[in-house]
Amino acid sequence: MKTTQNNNSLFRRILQWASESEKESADAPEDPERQEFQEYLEYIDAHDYIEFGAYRYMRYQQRKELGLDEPTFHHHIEPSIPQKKQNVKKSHHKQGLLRKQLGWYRIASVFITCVIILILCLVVMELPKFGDLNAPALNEVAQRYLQQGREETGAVNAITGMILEYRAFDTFGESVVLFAAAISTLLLLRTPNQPLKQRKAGDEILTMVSKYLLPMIILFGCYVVLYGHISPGGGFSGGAILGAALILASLVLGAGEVERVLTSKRVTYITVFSLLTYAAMKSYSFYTGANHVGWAIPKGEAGHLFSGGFLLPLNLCVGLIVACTMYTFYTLFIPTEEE
Amino acid sequence: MGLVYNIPLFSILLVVVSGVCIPLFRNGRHVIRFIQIVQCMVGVGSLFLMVELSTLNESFTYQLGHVPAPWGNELRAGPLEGLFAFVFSLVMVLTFSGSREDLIADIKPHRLGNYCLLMQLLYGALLAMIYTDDLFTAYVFVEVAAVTACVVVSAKESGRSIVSAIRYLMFNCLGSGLFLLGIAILYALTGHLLFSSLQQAVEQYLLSGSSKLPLIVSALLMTLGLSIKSAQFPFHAWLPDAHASATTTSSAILSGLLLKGYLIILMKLMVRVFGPFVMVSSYLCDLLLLLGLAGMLFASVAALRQEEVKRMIAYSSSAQISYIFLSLGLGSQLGLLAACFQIIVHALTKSMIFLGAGAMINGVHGHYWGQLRGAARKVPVGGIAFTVGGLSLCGIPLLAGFSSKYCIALAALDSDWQMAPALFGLAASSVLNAMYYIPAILVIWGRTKPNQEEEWNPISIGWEQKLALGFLLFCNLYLGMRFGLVRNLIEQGINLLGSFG
Amino acid sequence: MLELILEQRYYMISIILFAIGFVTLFLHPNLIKKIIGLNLMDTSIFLFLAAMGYVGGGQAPIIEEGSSWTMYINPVPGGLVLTGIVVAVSTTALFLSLTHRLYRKYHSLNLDVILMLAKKGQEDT
Repeated sequence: MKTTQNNNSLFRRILQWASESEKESADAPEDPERQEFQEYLEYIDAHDYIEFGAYRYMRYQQRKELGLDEPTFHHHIEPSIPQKKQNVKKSHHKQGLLRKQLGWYRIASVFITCVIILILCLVVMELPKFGDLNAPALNEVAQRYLQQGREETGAVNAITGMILEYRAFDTFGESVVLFAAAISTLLLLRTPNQPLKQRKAGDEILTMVSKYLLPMIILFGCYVVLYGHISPGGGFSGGAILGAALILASLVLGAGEVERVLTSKRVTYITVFSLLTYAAMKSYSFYTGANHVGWAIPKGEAGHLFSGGFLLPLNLCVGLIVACTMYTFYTLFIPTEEE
Repeated sequence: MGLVYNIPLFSILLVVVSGVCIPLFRNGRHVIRFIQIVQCMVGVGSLFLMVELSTLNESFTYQLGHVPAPWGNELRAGPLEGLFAFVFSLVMVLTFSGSREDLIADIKPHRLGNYCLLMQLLYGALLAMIYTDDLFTAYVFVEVAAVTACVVVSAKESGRSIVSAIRYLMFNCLGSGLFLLGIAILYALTGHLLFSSLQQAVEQYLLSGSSKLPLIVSALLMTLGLSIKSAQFPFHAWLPDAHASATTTSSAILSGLLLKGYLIILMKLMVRVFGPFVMVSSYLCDLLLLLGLAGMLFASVAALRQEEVKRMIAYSSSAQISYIFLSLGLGSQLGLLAACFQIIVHALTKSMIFLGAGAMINGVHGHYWGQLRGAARKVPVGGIAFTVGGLSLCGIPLLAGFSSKYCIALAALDSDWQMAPALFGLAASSVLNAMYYIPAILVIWGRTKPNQEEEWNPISIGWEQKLALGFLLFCNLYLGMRFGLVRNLIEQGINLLGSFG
Repeated sequence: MLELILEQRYYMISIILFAIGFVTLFLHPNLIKKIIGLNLMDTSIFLFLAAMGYVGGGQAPIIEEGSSWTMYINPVPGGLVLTGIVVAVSTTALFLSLTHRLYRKYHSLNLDVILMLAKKGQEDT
């Protein structure tokens, strides 16, 4: 990740370059990196802004084309400036044309967007008023969720009752989206048998604070998941809190402590089993509901922890899926040794 | 309620659950077999469902959970849905068989399992799109399809495929944003998400004559979102790259099935929610017709200039999608029938063309026309598949493409002012199709060196690939010669779906 | 007119945010800024939905027994927003991981540059 580092300190280097150029005499030996950077600044001036890394890579490609294949891509100047300039001129010509087209494209799309805004604003004027008590959205569907939801699902929190009982199929699809995203990032970013970069543990203040904070965050996350049908919360929000706790732990403990316990394989297994449990419970419920066969799960008394039939285990499954997915996203963006 | 009625739910659940189980496998090659078995099971189930419902002449809604429809979710199935599910399963199985070697060669072994997982989830999402009867369920599964399809495009891991995946994702996000905004506006107006309740609410608005603008705009937004996702002409920028750079399996599935999944939702929206009145009074039908016409011509012209075989096929996909838009835009029952028929024909034909092209690309290790000269002599089975598919899309009689064009022409003849432009577009695009497919066919059967007799040494390909291509060929010929059965089935299904036009 | 605009301010703002996100997603060449635009676009729709669910004087739909409160907000948009958030998180993660891959390959976040380099690489091979 050398190039990023350079890129990050771009501003600092500009300052350095500016101050040094005054001090040094003209015939002093040139710093190759500085010279390259100077060329880069000239290039930006002549063309358009591109990142330093991209510029270097382009130059590297140009050098390769000319047959000056140097392995020292990061640290040395390139010897063939006149040839390079020729090359650049050619591409500059093309770029001008492209820029002209892009300009039109931009103007057209801004214009179209303005028209869309105007039309949508007109639409919005005709929609029911904000906070209207007689809005059409407050019809028998919403009323039943609010009035009978408590008896029918055993959930105090109407939204949990809705997403896990009335519209459970949508929620199943949602969990599948999350799972698909986790697997996708895994497929794109994970290279097996590559050790993670050894990171230092967080600094002292961070460690001290999080030592006391972590148990509380985890406790709070568990509470939000488990009491999702009774109080505000639920699998999704609680899972996000738990995922954040895992990420914090991984940052603070450092050196892959958490990764050692929760390997990518185990995390995937947990997600898979939670999803399978969810699917099993819900297909039982769908099947019995659709075929009007009995329903043997006790609802319990609304307002107690063990109530609402399947709601508690369902929330637990969703919470696990969300937490694991968040954590997977995080681990996959940790740089590996190679970089 | 017999067990047959559980088939829609259980086919979706089976597919998704089998996909989720894949991380438990160790060997990627076994995974391909495993998902093919599941696909076969779902295909057989759908066939059974289709036959049963067609003989009973009925369609049904399936309540998910213990609460009836406006409160809970619902699935809906009739002969048409059964037919779609069956064809989609068939195409999935045959594509995996036909491009098995490509798949193993293109994708790193430790990623094969995850690739199959995503494919299976994509297939589950497609099934859910076919059976859903709820707008929001449709949205959720559209998203599943969007996420999985992007990764499926980039699975080859070349720089170009990742760039095209990112562009695809951008268009996809825009499409789902517009679709969700449309849903939000419609929900604010009616307070329903279920198709049948939405239809009643929309009818009431139409009777009272109020809030016409929001209704039309929401219909427009949803149509726009779905047409971006299905690569209709002005929004097709992402398609050629995505298909050309992906591995053969991905291209065949994406072009053959995924684009149609969105169109099925669009069709359901048109028939079951907005009905003919909104469609006609908001000029939405005319818009669809216009988009279709423009797409048929422009995409075909663009296909003429392609130097890469897969890019050309991708542009031809965009042109074929435009046929569906055109026939939906005719706004009649016959147009709808033609659209459904075109969906089925194109799903079967395009996957065959992609598989044939993939086999030839593998045979000669090059995908430009210059490199493909004489490829069909090396890989005769792939060459035949490509040739028959290409001729079918040109509309040569006795092949499937002809019968779908015939259906569209029948629908066009039945309409009033749309007749002339639709027939003109049909004729012009057939000529254009011929202009790029016939030279391509001549190139692949040509000799690498002129005036020189070459020995005939075809590369041997696996029996599975041969079988898959042979079966697709058979389907194509069958649909070309005896399409009465399928047509009657679609007609029955559409009548049960709702009246239109 | 002005009164109406003020009354519907949440919807208006969400529409404007949607447009800003849309323009950023399509016109900004930097991939990270594209992702920000995408998130802006999604969030604006959540604002729209959440505003739609509000009922004057309504409370969060936690139906406690014995509470005298009878006005609750509409729970359906809440559920829809939840789904939307999950979808947005997934697409963002996917977008980021694709960006990461591209950066590793081309050392740039500028889509124009990447497209140019990708085209060049394609001609080479």
